[in-house]
Amino acid sequence: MIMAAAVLWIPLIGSCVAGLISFFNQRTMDDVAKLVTCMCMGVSALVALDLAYDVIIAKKIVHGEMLSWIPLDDHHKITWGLYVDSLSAIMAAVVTCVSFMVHIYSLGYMKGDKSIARFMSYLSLFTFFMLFLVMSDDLLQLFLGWEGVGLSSYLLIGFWFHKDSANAASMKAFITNRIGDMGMVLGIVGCIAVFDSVSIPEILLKLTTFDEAFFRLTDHLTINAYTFICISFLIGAMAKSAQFGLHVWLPDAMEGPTPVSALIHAATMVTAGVFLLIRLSFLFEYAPSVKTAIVVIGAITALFAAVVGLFQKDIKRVIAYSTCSQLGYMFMACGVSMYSAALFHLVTHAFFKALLFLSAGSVIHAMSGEQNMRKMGGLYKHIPVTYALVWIGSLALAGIPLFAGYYSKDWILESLYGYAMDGGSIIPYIIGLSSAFLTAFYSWRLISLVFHGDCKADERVQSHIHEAPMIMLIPKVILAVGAVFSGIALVGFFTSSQLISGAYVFTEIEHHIPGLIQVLPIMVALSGIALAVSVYHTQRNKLAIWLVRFKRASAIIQSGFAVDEFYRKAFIKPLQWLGSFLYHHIEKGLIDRYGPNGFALFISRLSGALRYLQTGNVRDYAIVMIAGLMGMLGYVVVVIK
Amino acid sequence: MIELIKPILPEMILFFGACLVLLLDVFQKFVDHLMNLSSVLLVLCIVAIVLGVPDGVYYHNLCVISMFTGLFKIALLTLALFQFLATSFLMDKYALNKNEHSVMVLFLIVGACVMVSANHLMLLYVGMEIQALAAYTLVVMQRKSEYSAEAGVKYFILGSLASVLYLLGASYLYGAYNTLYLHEIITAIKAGSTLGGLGSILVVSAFLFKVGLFPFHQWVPDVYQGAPTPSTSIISTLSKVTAVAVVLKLICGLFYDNKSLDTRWIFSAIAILSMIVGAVVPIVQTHMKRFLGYSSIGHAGFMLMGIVNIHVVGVSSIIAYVLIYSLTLMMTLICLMSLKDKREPDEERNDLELSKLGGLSQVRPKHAFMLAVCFLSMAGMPPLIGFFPKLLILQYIINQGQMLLTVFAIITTVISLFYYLKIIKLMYIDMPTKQSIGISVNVNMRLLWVFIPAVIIQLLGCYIPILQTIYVQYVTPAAETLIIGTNEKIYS
Amino acid sequence: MIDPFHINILSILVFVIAAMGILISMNNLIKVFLCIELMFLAVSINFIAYAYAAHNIDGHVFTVFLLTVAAAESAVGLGILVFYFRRRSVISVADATVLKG
Repeated sequence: MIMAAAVLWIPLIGSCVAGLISFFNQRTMDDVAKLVTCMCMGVSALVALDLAYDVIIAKKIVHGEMLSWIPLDDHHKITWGLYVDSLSAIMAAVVTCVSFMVHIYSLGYMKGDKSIARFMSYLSLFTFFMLFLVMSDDLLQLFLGWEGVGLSSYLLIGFWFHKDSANAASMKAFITNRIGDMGMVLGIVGCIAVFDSVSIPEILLKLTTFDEAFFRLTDHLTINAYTFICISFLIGAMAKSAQFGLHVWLPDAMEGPTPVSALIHAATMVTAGVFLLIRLSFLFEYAPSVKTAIVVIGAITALFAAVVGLFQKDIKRVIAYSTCSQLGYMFMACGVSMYSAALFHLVTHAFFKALLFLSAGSVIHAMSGEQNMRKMGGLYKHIPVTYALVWIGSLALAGIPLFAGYYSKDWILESLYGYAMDGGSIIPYIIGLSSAFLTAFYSWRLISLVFHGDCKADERVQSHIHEAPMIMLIPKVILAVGAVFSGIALVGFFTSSQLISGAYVFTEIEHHIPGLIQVLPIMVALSGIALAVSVYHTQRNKLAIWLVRFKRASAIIQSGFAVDEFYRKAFIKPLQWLGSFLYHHIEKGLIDRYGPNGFALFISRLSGALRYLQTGNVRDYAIVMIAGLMGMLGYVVVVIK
Repeated sequence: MIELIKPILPEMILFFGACLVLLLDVFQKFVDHLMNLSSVLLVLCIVAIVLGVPDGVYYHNLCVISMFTGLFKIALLTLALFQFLATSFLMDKYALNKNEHSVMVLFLIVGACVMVSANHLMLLYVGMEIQALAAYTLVVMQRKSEYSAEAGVKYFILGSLASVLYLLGASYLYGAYNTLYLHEIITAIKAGSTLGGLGSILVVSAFLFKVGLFPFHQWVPDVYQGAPTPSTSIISTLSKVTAVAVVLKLICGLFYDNKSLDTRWIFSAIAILSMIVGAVVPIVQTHMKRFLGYSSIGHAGFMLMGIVNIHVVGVSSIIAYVLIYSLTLMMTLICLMSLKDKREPDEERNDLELSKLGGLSQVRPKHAFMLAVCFLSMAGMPPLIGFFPKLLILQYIINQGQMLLTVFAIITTVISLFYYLKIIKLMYIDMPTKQSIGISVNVNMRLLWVFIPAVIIQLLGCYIPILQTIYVQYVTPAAETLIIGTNEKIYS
Repeated sequence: MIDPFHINILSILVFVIAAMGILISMNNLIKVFLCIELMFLAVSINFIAYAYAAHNIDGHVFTVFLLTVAAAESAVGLGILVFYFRRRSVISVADATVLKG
C-alpha cells in the first residue's frame, strides 16, 4: 500500500515543486525544477517496477483506502482508494518508465526554453493523473484521473501558447474529449443506477449475482442496462484513445513539443481508453453487441489511420496516425476478448512508439525545427545513432520477428483469426493484415524520405545538422532496448498467466493455427517494407507522376478523409449559425435588452434621478421628514380603532 | 452606597472617567496616554457589566437590566474599544484633538447606555440628548473643514427637530395615559386611543431618524461625508446600534399584540423605500463615505423587515444583523482611516473619492483584502459572517409569508451586490493611478492587531457551530427578554 | 373651563408656527435656533397642561429637565453656529449645499 501510494504521489510532489518555481518565475531555480521532477519520476519508476514485480509474482492485490471522499451513509461511501492488481501494476510500470525517459529527454529537448520549469511540472502532473487513473478503485476516482489527464494534455498541447495553432489544437483536444467525458459520466451514472455503487470490485461482485438489468425509456422501449453502460464507456474510451470519429484531436495534438507527443502516444493519454476497456472487461462481456461494435471501430480505425498515414508529409503526423492505427489493433483485441493481447500490445507499443517519437524529435531538432519529410533526406550520414534507433523502432512497429511488436501484433492477428474461425467475420483479420502491410510501408517510406536520398533542405539548415546530445540519446537507447527485448521477454508471461485479475474469465480456445497463417504477418510486413524500399529508392519519380493524376483524391486522404471538413460543415457551421442567431436576436435583442440590461439601465437611471432628491438643502430635508411624518400620522388617525 | 450605584456602575465609570480624561487633558504630562486610559475605562466598564447586578428593574422601575441591555452595552463598548485601539495613532492625521475625541465618544456611550436601559420616557430623552450632543460635537470636531461645519449644522438642525418630535410624542403619550413609565404605557396602550397612537408613532419616528430610515434618511449621507472619518465611524456604528436597540424596545413594547393600531403597513413601506434608496442611489456615488452612508440606509431597511411582524425570531435576527453589520462597517472605516494621507483637512471631502481606491490591491494588498472582505460581508456573501443575519431575516420574513418584502429584499440585495463588487473590481482589477490613495502612507503595523481579529471574525462564518452557539445562548434570550419583558412579570 | 385639549391646540399652533419658522428662515441660523427653542416651549406647555389636569408631578419634572437640556442644546448649537460662521462667513444655511447628491 505504501509503495503504491509512493508511486502515485511522488510525481505530484515533483510537479508541485516545479510548478511553484515556475509560478514565482524563479529562472535561477530551473535546474532545481528539472532535477526534482526527474528524480521524483525516477524514484516513482523504480518503485513502480518493484511494485509490479511484487504484485505479479505474489499474485496479490493491493487495495486500500486513503481518505473518505463522499460519505453518504453506511453502505454508500466513496473513498479515495488505491487498487493495484496486475493490470494496474503493469500500466503503472509502463507509464512511469516511459514518463521517466521522456522527462530526461525533455531536459535536452527543451533546453533553453524559458518556461522549462512549467513544462516539467506539467509532465509530472500528466503522469500523476494517469497513475491516479490506473490505480483508482472506483469509477468516480477514475473519472477524476480521466479529467486530469485531459486537463494536462490541454496544458501541454497548448504549451507554446503564443502559437495560435497550438491553442487551437489544445482546444480541439479538450472539446473532443468532452464528448468522451459525457459518455463516461453516463456510464458512471448507469453503474450507480444498476449496481448502486461506483466501486469497481463491488460492481464485479454484484455483477455475478445479477442476471439482466434494463433501463425503461418509455412503456414499450427498454434498453439493456449493460449495453447502455458499455456503449457509454465505449464512447469515453473512443475519445481518449482516438478511435475513428473522435480521432480528430490526435493529429492536431502534434502542435505540442515532441516529448509531449511521445508521452501522449506511448504512455499516458491514449492508452487510457484501452485501459478502461480492459479494466471493465467483465462488464463488456455482458454486452456482446458492444463487443462487436468495438471490433468494427477498431478495424475501421486501424485501416483508416494506416491509409491516412501513407499520405502525410509531416514526420510527426505519420507517427501519430500510426498510433491511431495501433490503437485500432488494441481495440480489436479487446473486442474479441483477448484483453491480455491488447495489454501486451499496449506495453510493447509504448516502448517503440516512445522511441519513434523521441527519434522524430531528434530529427526535428537536427533539422532546426523542420517537420516536413519532403524537405529532409540523406540524414543517415549525419545522425547515425538516431537512424539506427528509428530502424529499431520501425522494425518493432512493423512486427518483424525478434522485435517487440512482432509478438504482440502476431498474437492479436492470431486471435482475430481465431475469432473468424469461431464463427465471426474474417474481415477484421483481413483488415488487420492489410493494416500491417500499410504499417510497414509507411514506416519505410518515412525512413526513405528522411534518411536516404538527397537532402532537400536549404544550406543554412544543412550546415546545422547534428546528432542529438547525450542526454537525448540515452533515453532513446534505453527505450530501444525495450523495443527490442520487451516482446521476447514478456511473451511467455503474458500468454501464460491469467493476467487480468478480476476480469471476465475467458477460456482460451486452442485453435490449430495453420502454418501459413503463422508466417503470413511476417510475409505481409516484409512485402510492405520491400515495396516501400523499391518505390522510394528506385522508381520514386514514376510513382510521383502516377500519383499526380489522383491529386484530388490524395489531398482528401492526406487531410484524413476530410473528417475535419465534414465536422466543420455538419456540426460547427450550423452550430455557429445557431449560436450567432440566438446571441444576436434572442440573447441580445430580447433577453438582455428587456431583461438584465434593461433592468440595469432602469436602475442606473433611477439612481441618477433619486440623487437629485438629495438637494443638499436642509430645508428640503426637513420638509421630507415632516411630510413623511404627516403621512404616517395621517395613516394612524385613519386606521386606529 | 456601592449597592446603591451598582446597577448604573458602568455608566458611572464612563461618566466620571470621561470627566477625568477631560481634566487630565490639561496636563501636558498625561496627554499622550489618555487614549489608553479611555480604553482601560471601556474594559473596566465591560467587566462591570459582566459582573454586574442580576437582571431586573432598579430605581423605582426607572432602569432595566436584562440580557438585552447587557448584550447591547457590551457590543457598544467593544466597538468603541476597537475604534480606540485602531485610531489612537491615526488621529493626528485628521487635525483632531484625540483626547477631546475620546471624551466625546465616552459621553456618547454614557448616553447610549442610559438609552438602552431606560424604562422611562424622560430618562430616554436625557440619554438621547447626551448621545446626540456628543454626536454633534464629534461631527464638527475638525475645525478647519468647511464640510465638517456644514454637516454639523445639518445634523444639528435635523437632530433637534427629531428630538422635538420625540418630546411631542412623549407629551401625547403622557396626556393619553398619565404616566411616563414605559411599562405602564405599554400596558395601557393596548386599549388604544388616537392621542396615544399619534404619540407612539412620533416617539418611534425620532429613533427611526437616528437609525436613518426612509423619510428621515437624508442627513445620513451628508453627515457621513462631512464628518471626519473617525467621527463617521462612531456615529455610523455606535449611534446606530443604540438607535436600533431603542427602536426594538419601543416597537416591541408599543406595537406588540396591539389590536388597536396595525403598523405593519407603515413599517413595510419604510423598509421597502429605505431598501430601494440604499440599493439604487449608491450606484452613482463617487465618494466613499457618502456611498457607505447610502448603503447603510439600505441595511437599516433590511433590518426593519425583521420587526414588521413582531416575534422573537425576527427581533433576534435584527440584533444579530445590527451587531455584525456595525462591526463590519467599523472595520471598513478603520481601514479607510489608515489609508489617509497627510493632507489639508479641507480636502477631507475629496480624500475618499471612490476612484482613488483604484489598484489598491497592488499598492496596499492587506488593506485591499480587508476592504474586500468587509464589502463582501456587507453584501452577504456566504462564507463571510455577513451572510448569516441576512439569511436569518430573509428566512424569518419568508416564514411569516411577507412575499412583497421578500421580493424587494432580494432584488435590492442583488443590486447592492453590484456596487460592492464594483469597488472590489476597482481595487483588484484596475491599475493604480497617481491619485490612488495609500501610496504615500506609512502604515503602522499596530493595525494588524485590529485587522487580524476582524478577518477572523469575518471568517467565523466558515465554522457555523460557534455562531450558532452565540446566537442561541445570547441573542435569542436577549430578544426574549424584550418580548416577554413587555408584560408585567419583572416589574414589582 | 380650560381643559388640556385647548392647551393642546395652543401648543400645536405654536409648534406649527415654529416649524414653519424653521422652514422659511433658513437664511439665518439664529432664527432657526429660536424656532427650535419655540418648539421646546410648545411641548413644555403641553406637558404642564397634562400634568396639571392629571394632578401628576411627572410632567412638571419633565419640563424642568426639558428646559435644562434645551439650554445645553442651545449651547452646542451656538458653538456649531460660531464654527460655521468662521468657515463660511455667513450664518445662512439656505445655500449650504456643498454636501449633496
